Amino acid sequence: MADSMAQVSRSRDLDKLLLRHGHLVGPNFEPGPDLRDDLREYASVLVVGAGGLGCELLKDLALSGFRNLEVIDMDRIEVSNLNRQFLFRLGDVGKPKAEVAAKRVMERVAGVNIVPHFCRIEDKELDFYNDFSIIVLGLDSIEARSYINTVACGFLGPLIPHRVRLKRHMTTWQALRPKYNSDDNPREETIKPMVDGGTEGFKGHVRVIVPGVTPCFECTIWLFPPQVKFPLCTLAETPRTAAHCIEYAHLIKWDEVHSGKTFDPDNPEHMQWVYSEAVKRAELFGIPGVTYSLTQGVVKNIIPAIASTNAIISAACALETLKIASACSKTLSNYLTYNGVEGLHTKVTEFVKDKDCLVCGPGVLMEMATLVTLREFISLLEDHPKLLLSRASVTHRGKNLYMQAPPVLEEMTRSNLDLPLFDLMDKVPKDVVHVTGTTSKSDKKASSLRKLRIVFKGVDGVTDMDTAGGA
Amino acid sequence: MVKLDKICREANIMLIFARSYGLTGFVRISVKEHAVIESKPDHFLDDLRLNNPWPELRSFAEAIDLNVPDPVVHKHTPYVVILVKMADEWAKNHGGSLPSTREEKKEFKELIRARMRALDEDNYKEAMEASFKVFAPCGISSNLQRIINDSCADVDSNSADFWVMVAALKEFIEGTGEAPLEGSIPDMTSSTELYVTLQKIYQAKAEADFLVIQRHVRNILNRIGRDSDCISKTMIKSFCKNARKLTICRYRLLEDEFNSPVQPELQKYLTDEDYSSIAVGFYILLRAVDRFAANYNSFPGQFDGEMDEDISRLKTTAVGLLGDSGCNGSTLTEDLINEMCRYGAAELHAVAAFIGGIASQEVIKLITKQFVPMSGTFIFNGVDHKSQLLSL
Repeated sequence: MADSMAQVSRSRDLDKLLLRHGHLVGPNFEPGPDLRDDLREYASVLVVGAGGLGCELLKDLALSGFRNLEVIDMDRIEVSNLNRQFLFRLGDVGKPKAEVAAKRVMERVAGVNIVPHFCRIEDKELDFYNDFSIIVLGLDSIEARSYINTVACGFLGPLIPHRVRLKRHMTTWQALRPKYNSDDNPREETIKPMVDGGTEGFKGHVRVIVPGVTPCFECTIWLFPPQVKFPLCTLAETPRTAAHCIEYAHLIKWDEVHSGKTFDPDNPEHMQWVYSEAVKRAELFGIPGVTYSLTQGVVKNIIPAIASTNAIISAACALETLKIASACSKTLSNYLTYNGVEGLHTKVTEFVKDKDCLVCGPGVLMEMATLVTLREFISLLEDHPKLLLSRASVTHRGKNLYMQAPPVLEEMTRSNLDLPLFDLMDKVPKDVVHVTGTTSKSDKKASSLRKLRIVFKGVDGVTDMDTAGGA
Repeated sequence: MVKLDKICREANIMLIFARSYGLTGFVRISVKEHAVIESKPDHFLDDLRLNNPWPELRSFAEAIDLNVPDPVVHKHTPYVVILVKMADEWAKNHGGSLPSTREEKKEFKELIRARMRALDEDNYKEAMEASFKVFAPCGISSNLQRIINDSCADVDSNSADFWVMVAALKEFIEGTGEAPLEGSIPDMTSSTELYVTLQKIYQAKAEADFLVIQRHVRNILNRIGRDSDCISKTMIKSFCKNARKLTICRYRLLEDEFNSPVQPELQKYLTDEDYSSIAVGFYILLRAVDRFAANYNSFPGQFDGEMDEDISRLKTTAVGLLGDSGCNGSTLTEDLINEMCRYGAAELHAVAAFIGGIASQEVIKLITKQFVPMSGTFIFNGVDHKSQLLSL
């Protein structure tokens, strides 16, 4: 009884927006009790990351009318998280963030169901991500954003089976039909909107990504400046700052002394070792300022986190998620920056899509002969200038053609390697395949997923590029 | 609000208003004066005095030969030295003046380039990139000029410590034409030895400037009849280090803003098509709903079934409020009035969390006296996020 009272009062305020007509709303806004109920029943939101932003996001979404939430995070709770990741208590240290966060929000907000996933984002099947209406990102890494972005953009196109959720009201972006100059117009329900938040000190950003419609993460990757790296010769020969001494201990001295042992930034003994080496080096060169906390900051590349910035950015993300799902107001178009260093500045920028984007664009076109085997195809990917993808796994229409891992799947698909790709793709003249593998950019390896448009030479039906394969 | 504001102002208590209303809301700080020493701006020109070196820096630079034959030494000469020497050389050849026209600046850069012996000399590349620091005007910024000219800088026994230090700074600037040296230098390609020596030269000058300021502070404190040691050394040091970045925030009483808003600003917002017309619309409407509630005992759109009546009542209220603010003839769009009634005083969690987050962010800045708090009234626009600060 008390619970249902709480339900009524909880939805009372939200109802004003969901039940009433308005003039400043999204396209195809259909207010009414059905909208509210659909939001509860059919809308499912995945929160990626259960840290500073993730804790806020789960709480905000749970209190914004959503009932089906899931959260994925590979980390365990550390003492240093407790100052801002408010769902965690001292006794939770060492437990998985996703599980504790889900439990705490469910305890507090009746009727909400949150499924935690304590694993790496790469560990999940692609289908896992396909089941959500909206994916919200509360991450601090560019690599992780890139990965989720690629997965979500990979669903674009008419070819992947998709379970449609929240059919009636997922309409905001459906009205903005993406126009490709290619053969595969994305079916509207394959569009997987993302809301991405990020903070750094007193600054933050929120962006809405509707793959195929608004620029994806990769289209505007230049927004993230490359990390400052010191030339090795400076570290080795002419150190000038405390950071130089720390990086010397971390990048050069460690390997000299501990040959073969990998440095683990989460191991306090390793960190202590780097710190004391950095101190010695600093004394040798008369450089001031090496402290333990600076050592941690430099080595882990720690960005200071402020609870209130996380609150602001997460709240804006949750609001956008609500607006995308319900069309109860216009959506952010498409990038909001917040800066509270000097006064308060917010700015909305409308970025444009890169039509040649490797991720949300129509895909890299590869023309090949029908006789090319899967093994040959995989080695082609390594040399392709736009891909440079090694150890690739290949899927076609959700079917695994070849998987590098796990061993069971590798064994099952190994026999495909010597078959022609054309045969494996059911002898269609042209189609989209997805490949995942490793790319190395400036010595840094990253897993990446790419969409390819394969066209077989000399097969009938490839003449009309613009009509085949459409909806 | 107005009453609370007056009480807090008299008791000298910081007050922050925060309100969440439908898809809008506002945050407004109210405090008579907030002085920030550690304003920590993101981008601020470092204080290197390349075009106005003090004797120690000059003689250090003079002792270094840019034409040194050893290529390793040549590529490890810090750009500060290169620029000090080349600015000096230029001044000698140009009757004491520095590059000022675009052509001269270009020529100056080319002179640096000509000194490069190999393409991998990062120190010369840095010198070219930093050459604009040579062209920067000497002396203090207009912002700092305004602060030392402020009437509060005429101190008496009731003056705050901050203003006592400003008075000392004023005496310092009147004597030297410059603010005290900051003392830190950015990282630059250099041999460790030259870099560390250079660091020490800058630090020594900063320390000397600090001692002068400290002496002024002690004298002023004596003069106004306060204990000459009542401002700590650490405080004065921090003040000197940040002297060029001092920031003063002042906030009008809410009553003054309501009764006599800054007309040119208000007119500007009202006529701006893109950004601020919605923000100022929400500003007026957020005040209008309170007047509405005082008259009709409920907020517009609070109850279903009275929408049409509420819309026209809210419109009348808003027009009245605009008239009181000196904007007769101005109106707000029907869409916005409609929207405000749709909200019916609803408090959405996400909006409340956003507004609360902004308010806490400002509280952190006010309490720590670091970074610069917002000025004016922040109006949240949750429709398309084109929120705005209004200076009224």
